[in-house]
Amino acid sequence: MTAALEVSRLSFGYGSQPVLEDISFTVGRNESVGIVGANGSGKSTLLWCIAGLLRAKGTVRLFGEPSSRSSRARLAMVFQNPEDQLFMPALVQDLALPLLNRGVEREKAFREAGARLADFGLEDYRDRPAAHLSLGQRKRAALALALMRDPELLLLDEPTAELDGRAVRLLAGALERIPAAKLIATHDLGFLRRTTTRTLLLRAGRIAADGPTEELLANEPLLEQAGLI
Amino acid sequence: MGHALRLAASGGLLAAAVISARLAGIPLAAAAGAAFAIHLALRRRLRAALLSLVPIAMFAGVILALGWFGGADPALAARTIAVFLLSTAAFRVAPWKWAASQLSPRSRLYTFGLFLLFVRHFAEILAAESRRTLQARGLCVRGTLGRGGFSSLGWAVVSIFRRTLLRAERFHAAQSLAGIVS
Ligand SMILES: Nc1ncnc2c1ncn2[C@@H]1O[C@H](COP(=O)(O)OP(=O)(O)O)[C@@H](O)[C@H]1O
Ligand SMILES: [Mg+2]
Repeated sequence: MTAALEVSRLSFGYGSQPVLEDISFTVGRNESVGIVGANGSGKSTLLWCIAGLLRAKGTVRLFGEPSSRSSRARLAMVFQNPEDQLFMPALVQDLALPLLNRGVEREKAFREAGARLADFGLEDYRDRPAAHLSLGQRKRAALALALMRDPELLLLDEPTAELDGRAVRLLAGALERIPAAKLIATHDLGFLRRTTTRTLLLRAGRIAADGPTEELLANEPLLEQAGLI
Repeated sequence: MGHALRLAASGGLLAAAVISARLAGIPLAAAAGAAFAIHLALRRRLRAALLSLVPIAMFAGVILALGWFGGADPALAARTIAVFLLSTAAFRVAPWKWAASQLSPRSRLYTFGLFLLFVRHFAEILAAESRRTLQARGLCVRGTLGRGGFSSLGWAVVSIFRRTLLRAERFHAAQSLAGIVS
C-alpha cells in the first residue's frame, strides 16, 4: 500500500526569509509520527504546507496522489489556534456542518455531532458557541470537528498546549483509537512518547533527526542542541 | 423571545434601516433618536452603550466635516448613524442559532445563510480583537492624554487590523480545508 504522506524536497519561506529547507519524509498508513522542535523551528509552517494552505517548493503526495483538492479531502487538521475553525452559533452545529455538507440527513447529522461531543466530554456545551469555551475545550472541540470528516490523515498542531493533565490523558487515549495516520507537532516530549512511534526533529527549518521516538528522546545532547530541554 | 418574534423584529429593524436612509428633516431626526433608544435598550449598560458609539460618532463627524467643506448634505451624517444603529440592532436580535439549525445544503438559501454566518463571525472577530487590544493597552497606559497616550492608541488600532487580518486568513484556511469555501 502507498504511504499516507510523502514529502520530498519541500522548501518554504515567508517572503525572502527561508523557514523550511529541503524537507523529505514519509508517513505510512496508520503510522503516528511526531514533529518536535523549539518555538519557531517551523512545525506549524510545515503542517500548513502539507495541508496545501501555503504554497511550497517541492512535492507533497497524499495517498500516492499529488496533493489536490480531492486528495486533501482525506486529511483533516487541528490548528494551533483553533478558534476560527468553529464559527457557528452552537457547537453542535459546527460539528454537524461537514455532514450536512456531504448530504447526510439533518437529524442524523445532529445526532452524530452530539454523540461526538459527548465522546469528548463536551455534551454540556453543545448549544453554546465555541467562543464561550476555554482554550483547552476549544482545542478538544476542534479535534472532534476534524474527526467528523473521518480523515485518513490527521495533522495536529500543538494539541496539548492548553490542556490540563486529565485532558492530555484523554486526548492520548482518543488518538490511539483513531484509525488514521497522524502527524503531531508538539514540544511536549511526554505526549510524544505516549502517542508516537517515530519522530522527526526539526531544527532551524531542517530535519535534524528522523527515527524511533524512544531513541530520539534518549539522545539528550541532540534534544539540548535543538532547544527542547 | 421566541425565534419567530426575533425574526420579525430583526426584519423590521432592517426595513427601518433601509427606510431611514431615504429620510430627511424631522422624520430623520426621529428615526435617529429611535435608533439610539433601541441601541441603549439592547445594550442595557449605559456606559458600555455610549462607549460603543464612539467609532460611529467619529465617522459621522468626519462625514459632517467633509459636508461642511464640500457643501454636501449634512443629513448624510444623521442617516449614517441611523442606518448603522438600526442594522446593528437587527444583527443583534436576529435568531442566529435557530437560523443556523435550519441550514440545509438542499435549501436554495444555503449559500446565502453560510455567507451571513461568515459575516457574523467576522464581525465577532473584529469586536473581540478590538476589545482585547484596547484592554491590553488600558493595562499599561493611563489616560489618552498622558505621555504615549495617543501613539499607543494609534498602534493599538493598527494591531487590531493586523490581528483581524491574520484571523480572517486563518478562518478562510479553516473553511477551505473543510471544503466549505474554495
Ligand atoms: N505569517 C508569517 N510571516 C512571517 N514569518 C512567519 C509567519 N509565521 C511564522 N513565521 C516565522 O516562521 C518561523 C517558523 O514559525 P512556525 O512554523 O510557527 O514555528 P513553530 O510552529 O515550530 O513554533 C518563525 O521564525 C516565525 O517567525
Ligand atoms: Mg507552531
